[in-house]
Amino acid sequence: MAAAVTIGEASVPHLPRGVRLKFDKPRDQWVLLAPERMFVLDDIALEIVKCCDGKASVAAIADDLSARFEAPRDTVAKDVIILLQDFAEKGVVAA
Amino acid sequence: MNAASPHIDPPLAMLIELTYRCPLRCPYCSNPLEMTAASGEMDTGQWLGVIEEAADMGVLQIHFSGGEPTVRQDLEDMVGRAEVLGIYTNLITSGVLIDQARLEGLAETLGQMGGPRIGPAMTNMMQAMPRSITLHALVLFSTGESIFAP
Repeated sequence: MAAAVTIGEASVPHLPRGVRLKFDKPRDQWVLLAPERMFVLDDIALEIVKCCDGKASVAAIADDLSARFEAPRDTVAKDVIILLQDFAEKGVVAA
Repeated sequence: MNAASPHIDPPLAMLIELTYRCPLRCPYCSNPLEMTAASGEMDTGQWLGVIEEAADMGVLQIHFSGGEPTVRQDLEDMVGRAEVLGIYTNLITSGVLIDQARLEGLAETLGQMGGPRIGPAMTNMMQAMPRSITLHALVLFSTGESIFAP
């Protein structure tokens, strides 16, 4: 069982071994593939997952997305943490 | 037939039963044993063709199962082809027929390797067994637990 992870501003998220981001061409969508399951990413989830490179912290990701999409940083940070926490609990993001 | 046939989406995943040969006789298993002899199984080329077609159709994951899929010495060819085509591969194996070299080769290529749905007695056996062969990637589907830390 993956250890319980709490995602915060200081967390540095990445995709663990066995999890892959892929463009599903026939269906024109992005998916996260994991053992025995997959998640279809919407535009926002995709931008967040693309930032999970094992280098950028959640704080840096929030700064980046907030600047690129001209959105309030507080809102962006909250959304990023909620999504990554959910994915971490499902075992498709590690930090 | 209905005049308006219903729209059916292409499959997301495909479960391949490569063989029905298996050295184990697990009581929970409902798959047939040796429904066809080895000589009656589809050959490498036929399976590779199926995998190509699956990729064209939009299959995103393939589960290699059986029987015991590792009795097929061409398993690596099929896993390799699926990976080249961008398909996520899962191997469902008891692990009892593979040595460390083959295991490590497969683990390099595979998306993941999983054990069968395992009862308590079998879990104990599996926990004792693979330590000696450094099995990093064995995941129990029933619990989602990795036996070994990577």
